[in-house]
Amino acid sequence: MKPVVGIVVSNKMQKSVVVAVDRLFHHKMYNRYVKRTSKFMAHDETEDCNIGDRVKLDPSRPLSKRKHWVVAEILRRAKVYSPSAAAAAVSAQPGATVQQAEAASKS
Amino acid sequence: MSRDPLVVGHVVGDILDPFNKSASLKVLYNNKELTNGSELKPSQVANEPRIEIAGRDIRNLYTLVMVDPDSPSPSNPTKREYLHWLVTDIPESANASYGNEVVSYESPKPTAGIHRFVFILFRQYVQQTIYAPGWRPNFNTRDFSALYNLGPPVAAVFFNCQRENGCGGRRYIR
Repeated sequence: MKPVVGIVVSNKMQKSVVVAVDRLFHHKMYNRYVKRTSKFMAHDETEDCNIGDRVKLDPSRPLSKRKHWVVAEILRRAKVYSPSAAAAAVSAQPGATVQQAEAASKS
Repeated sequence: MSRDPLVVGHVVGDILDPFNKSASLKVLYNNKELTNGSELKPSQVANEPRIEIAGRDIRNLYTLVMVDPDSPSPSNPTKREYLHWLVTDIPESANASYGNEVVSYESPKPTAGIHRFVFILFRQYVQQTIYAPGWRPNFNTRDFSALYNLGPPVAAVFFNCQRENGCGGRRYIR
């Protein structure tokens, strides 16, 4: 079975996340590839997932009304901008401004 | 990735060790055959099911165990496994009613969450006396199998069941 991989779009629930899984299929009439998104609720026991993380899902028994997937592993962490990192960059370079440091941290 | 319903449903792992299926077990509630992972209501499973073991040799005997690994709730299963039914000396090609009912059938009444109810079939190598456990909660299928030298299970089937009159919905007040 093809592994189910998607992006975490919500982690507001306790031990549950919503994962958006994209798929491409070929449209016969238009002869184009069309993207469709499915959203699955998945169980995150460790509450380790953040929005934007790329995760792999495993099928599971029904855990609740809409939840029958489990987060198997986090494949890639989301790059989260934190002001503290920008401030640290400013202190490291005395001549740099906050705007320059923020631009450097984003790039 | 394994698509075996017993593995996906964590029956293998929570209750059983991996095994090779070597017998055909049919569980029929109201003349409807049970499939792995199917959803049944408590009212549908109130009476004991009909058990059919395929085969022709009535000298082959089997032991059937029905347990709930999610008692009292799946998130905190402190009573895992709850014993619902235990029948021994079931002859091959016959119904469970021909066997020796050691622990009577207790109909599933899940209070919280979605519960799994698992039927596990063991092959008996000899006709032996199996004693009823002192209590239904905290039964252990692995220990039971080891105690009576039953070996690994030969077949297993499970279904999901949850409270029928759940929360939500409009309440009609006179």
